[in-house]
Order: sequence, then structure tokens, then C-alpha cells
Amino acid sequence: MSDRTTWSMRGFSAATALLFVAITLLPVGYALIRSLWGAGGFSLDAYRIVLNEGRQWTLLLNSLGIAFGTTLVATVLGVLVGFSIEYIRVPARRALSYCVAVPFLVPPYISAVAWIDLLGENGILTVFLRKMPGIGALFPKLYSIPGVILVLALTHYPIVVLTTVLAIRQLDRRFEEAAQLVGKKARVLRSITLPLLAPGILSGALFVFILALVSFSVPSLLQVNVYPVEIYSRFSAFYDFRGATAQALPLVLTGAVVLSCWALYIRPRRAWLSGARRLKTLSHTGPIVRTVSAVCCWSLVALSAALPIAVLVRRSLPLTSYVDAWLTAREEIATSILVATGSATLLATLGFSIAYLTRRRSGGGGIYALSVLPFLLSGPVIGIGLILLWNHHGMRALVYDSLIVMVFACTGRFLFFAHQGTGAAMRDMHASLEEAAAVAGVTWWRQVTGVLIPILRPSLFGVWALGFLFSLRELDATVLVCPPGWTTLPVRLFTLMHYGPSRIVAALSVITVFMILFGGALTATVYAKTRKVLDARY
Amino acid sequence: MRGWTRTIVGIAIAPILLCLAGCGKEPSVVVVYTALDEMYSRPVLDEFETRTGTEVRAVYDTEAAKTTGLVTRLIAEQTRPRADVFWNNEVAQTIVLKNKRVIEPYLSPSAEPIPAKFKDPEGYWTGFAARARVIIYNTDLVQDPPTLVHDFLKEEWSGKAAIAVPLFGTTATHAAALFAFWGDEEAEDFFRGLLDNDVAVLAGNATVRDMVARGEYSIGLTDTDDANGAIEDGLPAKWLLPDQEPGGLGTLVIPNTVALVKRGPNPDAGKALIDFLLSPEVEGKLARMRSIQIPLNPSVEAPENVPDLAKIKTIDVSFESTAAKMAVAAEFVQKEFLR
Repeated sequence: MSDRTTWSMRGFSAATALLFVAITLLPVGYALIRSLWGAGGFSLDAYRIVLNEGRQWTLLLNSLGIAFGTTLVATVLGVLVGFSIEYIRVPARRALSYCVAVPFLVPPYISAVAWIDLLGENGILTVFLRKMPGIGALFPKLYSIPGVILVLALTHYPIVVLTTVLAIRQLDRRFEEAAQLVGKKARVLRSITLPLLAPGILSGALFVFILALVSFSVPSLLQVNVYPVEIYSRFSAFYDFRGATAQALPLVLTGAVVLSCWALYIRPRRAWLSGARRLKTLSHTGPIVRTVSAVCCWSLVALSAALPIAVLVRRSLPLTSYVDAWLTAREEIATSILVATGSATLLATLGFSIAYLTRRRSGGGGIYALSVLPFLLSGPVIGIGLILLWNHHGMRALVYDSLIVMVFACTGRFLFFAHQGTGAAMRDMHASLEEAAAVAGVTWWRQVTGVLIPILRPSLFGVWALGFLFSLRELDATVLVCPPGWTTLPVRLFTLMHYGPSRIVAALSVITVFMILFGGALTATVYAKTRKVLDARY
Repeated sequence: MRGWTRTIVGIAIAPILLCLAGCGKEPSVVVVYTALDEMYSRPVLDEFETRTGTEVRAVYDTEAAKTTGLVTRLIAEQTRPRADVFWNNEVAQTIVLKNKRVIEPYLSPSAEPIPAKFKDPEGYWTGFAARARVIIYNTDLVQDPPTLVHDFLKEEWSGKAAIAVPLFGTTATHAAALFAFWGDEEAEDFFRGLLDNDVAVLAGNATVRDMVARGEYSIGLTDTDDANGAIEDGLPAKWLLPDQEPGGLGTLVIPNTVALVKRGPNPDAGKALIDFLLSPEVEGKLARMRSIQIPLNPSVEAPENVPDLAKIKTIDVSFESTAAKMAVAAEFVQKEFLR
């Protein structure tokens, strides 16, 4: 490698490291240091309280109960739907694939509002179900841990659907066909197919677990006390920043344990899904099974997506509510789109850079672990860390006094997903393409821009779209650092939930949902077209 | 550079440039952090902007939704304050800011007519446009409403009463006032009694109003502004001031408070805004709104549906004592109400 190449590579590495440290590590560091050093110097008192207080066990049980319960229900639903789409190959599976994504695109706090209308004390469904005691008992009381699990599972199961479908596509069916020579289908499914698919399925389950563990809006609205709600109480009722940061410790430890177990399980099993595809995948099931599966899947889509949206639309009438909602929040919509676009771009860029730099070096696991910290720590903790880091005179004021601080807040919180998504796509790429380019004398920068990025473009686009979605609905950290004179859509929506007329809330929620669905449809179309072009080329 | 690379770079840079547009100092600006509902505070701030030509940059609160409030932000920004004025919709948290030295004294000429009880003796904050804690009841379900907060412990209201979680907002202030007036033991007995009597603990005062008006609960504790909303919407609800009988406890009257942030970036504009907010004109405007904020300036004429401050029996406890009990009350509530 020439000197110029070495220096340019070092510059790229330094810039990436600087951005990663500034956006991800420093706010966390400031928050942690502030929690340990107070007016009286170094003190572990806040952490001692967390470890010794009796009600901490209740919080831990509630938080873990919701996380595990949501993961279990979402995984069961997700695997069943994923199998129906890709394995059983039900009729209209393409349309089903798109509709299944809808519950995940709807922000959880909007789903919770709709479910309160449906299953609240005098909800539409509650009144109906009271007349059917047997069936009514199947639905949990909404303001409870099972209620939270129900809402979160119905919102997050599409993640497991996606990873299950991707895993099935990468499954080498020759294993199954060989096994079916000596065993029955059910045994092959149990002993061969499911174990081979387990790494992919569990990857989706892991995401669901983490999202459920740190969920604030749904438990808060349904009045279940979990760690994220407790952290907010520490801020809002006690102004106890150190106590609030300490309360995040169990979330961080739980997340660390689960991620470590997952990494230990996944790493030796990555090669199981070979990526080999048969040109034509035959359906193994008869028409009755396919029909019953289709009915069940579409019923689930109706319950998880169509019903909540229908409730919101009903609540939003008359149609003038949409005009009022638009007039109330058009500036906030524009601000949210601006911040989400900036965050998604930075997420895709930084996620790609980190994945590229770490993929052939040791220490990638450490970077991976550090990037998940801002997500596990509660939003207000990160918000305070951002204020402490950027609210200073000079150059740092340029960041704090502008929307850039909100872009940094979103990027820091969701970098884990961007890094993970891009890294997974890079692992599937064969190294020989870059090696051939290097042998031909192509510089590392041209290898990146001319080989890597074009091949990874569909995945990068997917990471960008996911970053846009998460940033569009982000509330917890950005509410603390929003510059004066600017407000985002989630902040406006949350304010209106408690102060404004409910029809405006419902109308604004519907506008938010259809904005996201439109963006999702656009993403899927562009992704499909790009994928087709690349499949044809390579 | 290839076409798509140019596109990606353009997409990457454009939002950053636009975001940078959010910074920079304007010639005449005032920054206000306001906890009063945006639907009420925005028209007042817009009026100030129109009259003076000073651009108002507001940050509105979402505290009732339990997201982290303005007070936390003001404390965190102490080393480099971004706000000039803090307009709170209650008083205890303003006193917390005084104790943490986040605000500084300013004696506005507009504050002179306001009674001493609603002003800080050292000039750190001034109260205006108050709300009162009230009992709201559903007129279809209740013919003989309770008149005392202690009535919420009676068996006839078991499972039929609702309050907002007393950890945030004016309900927290009310809880702290009861702790200050009754003492810790009696106050704890009262709140435990509410739980034993199956009182519903809801997300906020507006939710209490909605649930009572819908008939899901018969009675509730809320504020005058939320209660009046139900009446203006034509819902079957009415409200009354509790504990008004001779020798009674009295109710809590909670003023909006305004304070000058210490070392704010635009102190002169901040003072001008405070003078405007404390003017009789603003109190009259807030009294005529849906929130029916009670004027503290005796010269302000309010509509008939606004309670007359002179005729309200208030709890005999100072705001400083109430603020001193906020942490104690919050610890108790967290232990008993949030399990």
C-alpha cells in the first residue's frame, strides 16, 4: 500500500473514530461521570440505593417479565407468519409481506392510544367481550403487565417475521431433502429445519427483547412501573439525575448479558445459513394447510394493524380534524422530517464506516457492545449527557444551538442497529471481490465506492430507512435538547395527548402513520428495484 | 465522482446545512421555557411578539405526559443558560429552581398589584393567573356531590373516584401542600385511605376530567382549567371548590409563576417579557380563555364563570413549606402508588 493510501486510510479511520466517540461515547461518559461525582465528590450512593432498595426487585421483575413475555409472544407469532410466507407459501404472500410490516411502522405510543380505545375500561372491544365471558377471558386487562405484553408483541412481531423469512431464504434445502429420505416431515422440521433457522429467528427475538426492555411510552401510558418509567420519575419528580442514571444500570447489565449470550450462540453458527438458493422453491404443503395459514395470518394483520388504524380514523372524525391537525403541527412535521433525514444519513454513513473498519480486525465486538450503550441507557440520561457535552461556548455551541444536536441524539441512540445491519450485509459478501480489485491496483477508496457500496446499496438503503423510521418517532432524548423555537412531531403529539382535543390527536396520529407507511412503501419499491438490477448484474 | 455518489453526498450534506440554519443570534430575541399548555401560552407569546417586534422562541413542556420536564433542562443548562424566562404553570418547581440558584431576582413594576402571598419575598418569582384544585362530578351519576377531599374516603365513593397520579404537576403540588398542612403521618394515612377505597390513579388531570365526564368514574380531583373544559364541551359534568365550609381545610390555589433565568442570553428582553406577562391585560386574556385562569391582580375584571379569588378559602400553608415537602411526598407516592 502506498504512503498516500495509508494516510488516506488513517484519515478515514480517525474521522470515523472521532464521530463515533463524539456521538456515542462522550454523552454516555458525561452522564456516567455526573452520576458518580457530585457536589461532595466521588460517591456510589446512587448505585447502592439501586442495589439495596426492596422495590428494585419489583421493577426488575416487571421489566424482565415484559421483555421476556413480549419476546416469547412476538417470536411465536413471527415464526408462524414467517413460515406461512416463505415456507408454506400462502396465497397473496407478497401483499401479506407488506401488510405485516405495518404494525412495526406505527409508533408504539400511537398503538397504545388505539388499544386503550379498544381494550380500555369501557373500550369498544371490552364492552363487546363482556357479553362473551369465555372469550372475554382470553384478552388481558389492558392496564397490566399482560396488557403491555399484548401491545408490544403486536407491534414488534414483524421484526421476527423479517428475520425468519430471510433465514428461510438462506436455508440450503438440500439438508431437508436428504433428511426426508429417512425421516417424516414433522421430524425433519423439528430436528433439521428449525435448528438451522434458529440463529436467524433468535436474531429477531434479540431485537424484540431489547426494544421491549427499554420501552417507555407503552408501559407509561398503561401505568405499569418498569425501569424506563422509574428513570423518568427520578428526573421529573425528584430532579435526581444521579439516581436516574443509576436506575439505568440494571437495563445495561441485562442487555449486556443477553447480547453476550446471543453473540456466543450465534458466532459458531453463522455459516449454517449458507446463502445458497434453489432456483425454484417448491411448496411442501397441501391447499388446506395453506388456506388455514393464510386466514390466520390475515386475521393477525387485521388485529395488529387494521383494527388500531380503524379506531384512530373513527376517533378522528369529522374530516375537518385533519385540516386542524395539519395547521396545528405542519412545522413540527417538517422539523421531524428534517431531523430524521439528517439522522438516517449519518446513521447509514457511520454504521457503514464502522462495519467496514472493524470487519477484519479484532475489537469489533467491543465497538458493537459500546454502540448499544446509548440505546440501553434511558433517553433522558442521554439527553442530559448531550447537554453537558455540547452546551458550551465556542464551536460546541454551533451543535447545541441547532438541530444538529437532535441529529446526534438520534444517531447515538440507534447506531447499534445501523452497525449491526450493515455488518451482517458485509459478512454475506465474499472478500474475493475486494481482493480482485486490490490485485488490479484499485485504491481502497475506489474499492469502497466502486465495489462495496454498489453491492451493499440495497442493505444501506434498508439501514437508512430503518434509521429514518426510528428517528422520526424518537422522543425520549430529543425532548431535552430540542432548540428553542423548534418542536418535533412526537413531542407535539405527546403534548396534545394530554391537553388537546382527542380528535386532533387521532387525526395527527393517522397523518403520522400514513407518512411512515408512504415512506415505507417508497423504500420497499426502491429496494426491490435496486435488488432486481443487482441480481441481474451479479 | 459518480452520479449516485454525488447524490449520496448531497443528501448527506443538505440536512446538515439546513440544521445549521437553526443556530445563530437574531437581533431581537427572547427565549422562554413555558410549562403552561401551549394552546394557552402561545397566543400570549404571539401577542408579545407582535407588539414589541421581539422574536419569541418558546420551548413547551410535556411534563404531564411524564417526559422529562423543563425544570430538569434548566438545571442541566446552568453552566450556559439558553432560556431568558421560565414561565411555570405552578409554583413549587419554581421554588426548587430558586433553591438551586437557576433563577435570579427581578422586581417587575407590573408585579406591584399582586398580593404578597403570591410573590417571592426576595423577588425571585411572581405569581399570576391561578388555578384552583376542584372536585369534578358527573351530573348524570351524582346528585349529591362530595364537598370535602376527605369524602373520597367514604364507602359510597369506593371504586367511583379518580385522581391524577400525585407525582407530577398540580396533583403533586396538592399532595405536598397536604403533607405540609397535616403533617406526614396524617397525609400518609389519607393517601393510603384513598388506595384502600379503590381510587383510580390516572395519567393526568385531563384524563380525570375525561373519565368522569364519560361516566367511567363519578367524581374526581382536578384543576379549574381542566374542569371548565368539560363544561365548555357540553359534557355532563360540574365542578365545585372543596372544603369551603367555615373552619374547613380550604383548597389549593396554584398560580402561574414567572422568573428571570440567571445569566440568560437576553436579560433585557426577558425582563420586558416578564413585565408583559404580569400585566392586567394578560391576566384578563387568560381568564377569558377556556382555562379560566383566576386573576390575582384585583383590578382585572374576569368573566362570571371565573372563580373570584376573594371568595375562595385557601389552604393555610405557604408555598415555601409546600415546596419543602415535595420530595417527601414524592418518595411516599412512589412507594405506595407505583408498585
